[in-house]
Amino acid sequence: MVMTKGLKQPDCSDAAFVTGLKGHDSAVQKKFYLHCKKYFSEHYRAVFFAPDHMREDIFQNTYLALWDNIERGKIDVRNGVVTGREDKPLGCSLMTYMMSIARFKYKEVARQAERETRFSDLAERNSRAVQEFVSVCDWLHDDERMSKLEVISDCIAVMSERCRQILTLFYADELKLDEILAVLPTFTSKDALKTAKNRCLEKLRNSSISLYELRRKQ
Amino acid sequence: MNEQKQNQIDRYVRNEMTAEERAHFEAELAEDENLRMEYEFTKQVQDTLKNRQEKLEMMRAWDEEEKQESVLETARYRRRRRLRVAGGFLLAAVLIAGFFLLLPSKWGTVPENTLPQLDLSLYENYRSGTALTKIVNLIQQQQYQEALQCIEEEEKNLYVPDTSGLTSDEEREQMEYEAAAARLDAAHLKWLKVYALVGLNRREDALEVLDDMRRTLNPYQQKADSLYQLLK
Repeated sequence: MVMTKGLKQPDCSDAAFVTGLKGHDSAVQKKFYLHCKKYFSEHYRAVFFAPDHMREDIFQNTYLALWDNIERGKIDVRNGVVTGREDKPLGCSLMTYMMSIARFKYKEVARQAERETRFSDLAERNSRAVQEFVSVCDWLHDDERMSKLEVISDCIAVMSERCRQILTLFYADELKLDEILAVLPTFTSKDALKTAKNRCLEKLRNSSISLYELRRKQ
Repeated sequence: MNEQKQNQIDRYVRNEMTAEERAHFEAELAEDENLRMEYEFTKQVQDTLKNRQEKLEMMRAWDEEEKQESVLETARYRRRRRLRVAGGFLLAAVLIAGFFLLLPSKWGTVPENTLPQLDLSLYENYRSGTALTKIVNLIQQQQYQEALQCIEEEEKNLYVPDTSGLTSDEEREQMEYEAAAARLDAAHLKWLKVYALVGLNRREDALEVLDDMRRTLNPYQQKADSLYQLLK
């Protein structure tokens, strides 16, 4: 589908974007990101209402999900046509698809604002999110590993910021506990930090298992 | 999950084990299914977080580049606008300068109607007869250069007799009358010279003559003073 609105370079189609992203073309990646950001900022008010400070979070999670979906092949290109589930042509433009993800992410971010005071267990907090998630994102991978990665990614997106930060510093940045303590001075000792990290990992494990099982049943 | 086992898994995925420890752990993984599942989950979390982190850094870098490009574009736009404004002013300045350079010299000089109308009747008694009338006509026809030449010629020929040394009262009276007439003629000529100089746009010369006339006793003293102030 040819994109004509909001693009700086008008001769870039949805298929070209998907192909570029899958091929890790840095120029296309940047172009697509800026295009999506502009489109999102111009259209999000028609999809949901959110204060400005939430908008950035929503867009970030939305774009990451879209990017992951393209990289993992959930959105692909066959014979110059953008395809979705079971290699069938995508029933809408990439931007419309992105806004459908944004709608869901908005509900997650909105729920995040109240969940930490009302719920103590991440799995229980995500139960509603899981129900809606399945109804909105109904394309599942045949690849089990990809499905699990997607589930973990979705759960990380909705977990508390504190847990996400701890796990990111430990597993992604591979900082030592001493170094993490310097970044997160609220922890009084390495043992306390390690305990918190393990607790976050356990919550993530439980919510991922729940979500994965739920999707498999659908 | 056993915390000790999780610590082992963490050390393995973070490459903190020695070669011997790795080999021992990998052997354990091959035999213990539960350990293997926990390891796979931890590895998937690590891969997901790294992937997410990498993407977020790229997004932040693009935002920063876009912001800098936007700042540069704004600076370029402002520079272009300043150049356009400066160019506009320069063009206006050139046009104005050209306007004054190319237009006839009477522009920017003493405005018309500043000088009082010349009254020919004042010069009817001029002893040279038609010379003064000729000068007045030349001035009225705006032939200022010719008028000035005539004035200067007449001034050269003007003679003011010296009455000192005369013994006869009758001769003295005659000479004094002649001198007074000559001085009046000189005043007439100077006054007309003012007209000629103004017409030739020799403002400074006109002011000099007027300054001289307003300081000396003559019929045009008051007029000269008024005109001097006006031209000044």
